[in-house]
Amino acid sequence: MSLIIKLATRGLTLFVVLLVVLLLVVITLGATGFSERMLQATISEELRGLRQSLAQTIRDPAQLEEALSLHHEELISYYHLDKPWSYRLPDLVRRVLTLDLGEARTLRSFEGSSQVSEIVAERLLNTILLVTTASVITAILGLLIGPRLATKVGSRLDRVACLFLAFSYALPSMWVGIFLILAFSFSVNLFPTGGMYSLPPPEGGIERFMDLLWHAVLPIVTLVLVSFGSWTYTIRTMVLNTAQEPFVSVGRAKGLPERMVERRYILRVAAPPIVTSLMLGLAGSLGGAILTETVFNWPGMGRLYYDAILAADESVIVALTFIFTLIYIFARFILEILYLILDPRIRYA
Amino acid sequence: MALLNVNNLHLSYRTERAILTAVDGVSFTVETGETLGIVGESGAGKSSLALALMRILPLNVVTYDGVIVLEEINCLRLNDEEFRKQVRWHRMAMVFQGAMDSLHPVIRVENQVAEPLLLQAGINRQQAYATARRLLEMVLLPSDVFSRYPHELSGGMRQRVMIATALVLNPKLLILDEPTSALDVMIQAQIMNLLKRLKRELGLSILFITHDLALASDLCDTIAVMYAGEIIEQGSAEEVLIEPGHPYTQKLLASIPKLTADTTPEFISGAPPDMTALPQGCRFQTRCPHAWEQCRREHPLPFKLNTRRQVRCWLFGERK
Amino acid sequence: MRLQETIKVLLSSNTGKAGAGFLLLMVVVSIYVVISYPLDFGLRFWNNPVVWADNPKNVPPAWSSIFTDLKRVKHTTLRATEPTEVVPGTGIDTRLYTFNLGYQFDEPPSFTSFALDNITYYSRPPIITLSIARPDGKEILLYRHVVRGPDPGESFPISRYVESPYRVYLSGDDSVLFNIADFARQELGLDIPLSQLRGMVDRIIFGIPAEEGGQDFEVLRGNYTIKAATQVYHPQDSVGEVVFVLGGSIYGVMGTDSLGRDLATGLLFGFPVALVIGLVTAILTTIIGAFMGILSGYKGGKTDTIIQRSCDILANVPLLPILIFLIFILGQKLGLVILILVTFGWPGLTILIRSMVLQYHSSQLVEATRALGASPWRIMFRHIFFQIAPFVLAQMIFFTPAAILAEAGLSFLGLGDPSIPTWGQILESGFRTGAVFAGYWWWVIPPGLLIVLAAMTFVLLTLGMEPVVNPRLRR
Repeated sequence: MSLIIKLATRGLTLFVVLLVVLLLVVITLGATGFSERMLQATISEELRGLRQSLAQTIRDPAQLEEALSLHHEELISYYHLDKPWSYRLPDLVRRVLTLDLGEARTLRSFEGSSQVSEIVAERLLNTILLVTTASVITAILGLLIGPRLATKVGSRLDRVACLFLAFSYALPSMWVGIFLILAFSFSVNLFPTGGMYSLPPPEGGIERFMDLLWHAVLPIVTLVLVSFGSWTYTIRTMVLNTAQEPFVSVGRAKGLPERMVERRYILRVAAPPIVTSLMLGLAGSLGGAILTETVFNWPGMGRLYYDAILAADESVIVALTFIFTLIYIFARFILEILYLILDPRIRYA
Repeated sequence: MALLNVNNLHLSYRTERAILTAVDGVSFTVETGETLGIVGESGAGKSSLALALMRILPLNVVTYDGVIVLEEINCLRLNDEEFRKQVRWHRMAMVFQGAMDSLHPVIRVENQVAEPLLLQAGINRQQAYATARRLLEMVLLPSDVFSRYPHELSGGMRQRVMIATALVLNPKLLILDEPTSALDVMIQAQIMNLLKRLKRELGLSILFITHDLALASDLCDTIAVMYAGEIIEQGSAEEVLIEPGHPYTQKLLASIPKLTADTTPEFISGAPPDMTALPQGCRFQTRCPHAWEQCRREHPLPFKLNTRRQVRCWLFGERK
Repeated sequence: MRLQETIKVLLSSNTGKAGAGFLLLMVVVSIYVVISYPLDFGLRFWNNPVVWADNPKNVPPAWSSIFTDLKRVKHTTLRATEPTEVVPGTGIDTRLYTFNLGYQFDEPPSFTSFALDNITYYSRPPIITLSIARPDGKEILLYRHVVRGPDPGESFPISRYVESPYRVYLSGDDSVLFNIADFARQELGLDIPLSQLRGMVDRIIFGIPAEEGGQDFEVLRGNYTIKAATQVYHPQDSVGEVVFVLGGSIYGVMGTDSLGRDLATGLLFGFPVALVIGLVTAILTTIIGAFMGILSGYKGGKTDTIIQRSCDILANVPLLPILIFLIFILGQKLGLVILILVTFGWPGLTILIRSMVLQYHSSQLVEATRALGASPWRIMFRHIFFQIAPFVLAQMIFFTPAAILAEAGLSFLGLGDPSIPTWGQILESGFRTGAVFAGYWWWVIPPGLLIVLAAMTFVLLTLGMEPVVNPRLRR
């Protein structure tokens, strides 16, 4: 029972985070007058379209102007532009929470839709593809190398390896991507310089998949290179700390083979703090994804951020900020559940 | 034939500064059904001795040799795998100090007890768990703790779990390293009673490591006193406790407060030697009231007083 | 003293030494930059195209020529303030400015340009003619310019090109194009359409056709004489400076970017900026985080709950998206970036410090201190802080690269502070203008390398601090 309460508390906290971010976004937009400008721009667009269609029927210019100014006033009261921005707050919050994200100013989806939700939705999968693959590879590498290093702590191999891990932590992801492009794409045409598929993309399931894979290699390598350092180092440290605990010696004394001690006694008990560090590294992965997609022109949400900044498309930026936060807290929540499963000690605390 | 015969066991390992000698030429025997107490102050090498017997060696071990014969198996001749499969926990099991941290925090109690059993080939899972539960009952643990996690148990209960776990493969020799030092007196008494019962019912041979002479006198048939990595006196419990030969043993006994006498307990001045830089002669010389020049010059041998009695002191050897 | 001991341990390992060494290097370079660069370097120089107008664009560093057999063109600026020769005439004096150029390079220059500075005239506006005499005896009339006549209301003497020089980019100028077309037709017997001629100007000026009638040009090595003839109509007319620029195919220590900016100066400027960003963010985050952590852990109760909840919320906010959003809306200012990084950074440390403080809170040390009558604040700061100080220091050092990398990432997305050039911004300009896909490695590799260097410095220091913080790992 207390398990459920614990989970519910965490869930609530995370939901509050979402709300806080949302409020932060919305209040910033309101207080700086941004949201007003956005709405004015929307109204101008509508009026322009209206002018064109009305001009067909109303010939008299004075009448046309009168009709338009009437519409203008209607629109202003409809969007509540006559009231202070705080008035529009609750409505905006509600709309974002229900994922009614409005329209993009200049950006369009691949099909041409201006609906922000559609623009984001079609790219969501691409980002998840990239980030998940890279995360799995990083996780595996870390779990293989980390414990090995811990057993050899202090040795030359360990010290040199730690240097490489430190180097990985210091690497800026966009630069690694650029470097890889110059090295493997520009000088030797081994991999494509970017994009998700060749133009035109190949027909046929297997060829299309291979093409995707070929395009995904460099971005995934970039993501892995940048994140596996701190991840492996954390595992190494957690394993080191756990391996010195008394119950590990007891495990060995009980006649368990060394591999089993490593897995069941050391890794298993080090798992919860490792999960914690996974949680902490999540934000970094998000950031890395944004930058890497930008460099490789990978059509995901990260690249969308860059395009939206270049095009100064506010609706998309707001929507993306919210969606990234949503994904982030969702992932955190999953990890919290994982942590609770792994560590019975805190279930009943 | 003695159950356990240890002859000239050495263990030393490298620390960041120097090579530390933990066990230095220790020899003793344990007969079947006998309880040998290893007594000494902290740092004397008692726990290192236990770990050396169990072949749980420190990372930077430098010397590990001597002769350990358990149930006619020459342990040091076996390689690590063989030792693990044939001796460790099968014939010789250990109850560690500090029950608090000795149990795996994330595995349920009965699973931890059954664990070594489940590793054996051809074992039926049902049988393994049945055995585990039987042992847990034998150590007088209520059945509702069987499926709990260690952190839900008290210190005394955890120690019982450790004992049950140690017995799961029916070892002939049980090593207990300060099993009660982390517990309060009442729990201590309970555990001691449990040990006496198990000793009786299962015919166990026990190696009981403690710094508490009173406990040793309660449970042990024979006693070996350790100081600075060596056994400086051993013999039957009565002999050692009533007529201690070595000055150190005498001082130890004198430091116990007596209920029925009006004497102030003595203390032993000074400190044990640095195990990375051992002196040439007797290791107790700086604190011994009887020390003379030979003690400083020559390292004393263990002099036999009778079949089971030895004292490593020049008082019992040829004066020179 | 704890601090001395810490520094000793830090410097005892190789990693600690390396980290300290790099840090020293960065500090020295930063001091040099702070002394020799103006504070408004960003706005007045870096983002001011006029400053870089005479530089070649997109060329690699000078030392890269080691790796080719080609003798690459050295960037040469020829200036004259006094004419070499004055040819008097009636009513017109011709002042000749001649430059001798020994051209021994294996390729044509990346561009050529011509500039006039500070011309004053008292009667008719002067006429300047630019021509070049080639080693093969042929001469090309390149450009003819008449200084702008008087505007209505203007009286003599009239000054032109005082604030900024009159600059002609010969390689792309239309009139030069026509002149080259004529030259090609008359002297070389080649009839090349104007559309093709664009981009071939320098190749033709400094080259000869590889084969008869062909359109491939080989470099013509030898002595060239550039003549700028200024016809003045009044003896008091003056010309300030005549400049001829031979655009190099290499330049400087780190090459140039698409605006001709000397990348070395920009990269140097980035040193103190990176240090400031990293250290200021880290120090502020650490001070606030540690303070809140100690306060929360020691006081307990309501204070603890409030601080804990705030940390819970702030720590769960994804940094980069929020950073992007806030900078996009509120403006691209470095101070704002630091503020946001600190605001969302301190909770991480607080959570850690709080749990450490809780361990010490009920410790005997604190009890004893309390029993001695010390006030709670004193206990908190002097005693508990001393215990956790090495850890706090290590965390502070560890934060620094995160801040540097965050700013670099933000700049890369185009949200950098335009008044303060950073390595991230140089990376961004390179990426945005396609330097990556054009292979301009000198533009995009060094800034990233420096970011890595700066981050590595602090990571190495953190590694060196490890034995202080985690005594179990002390060797």
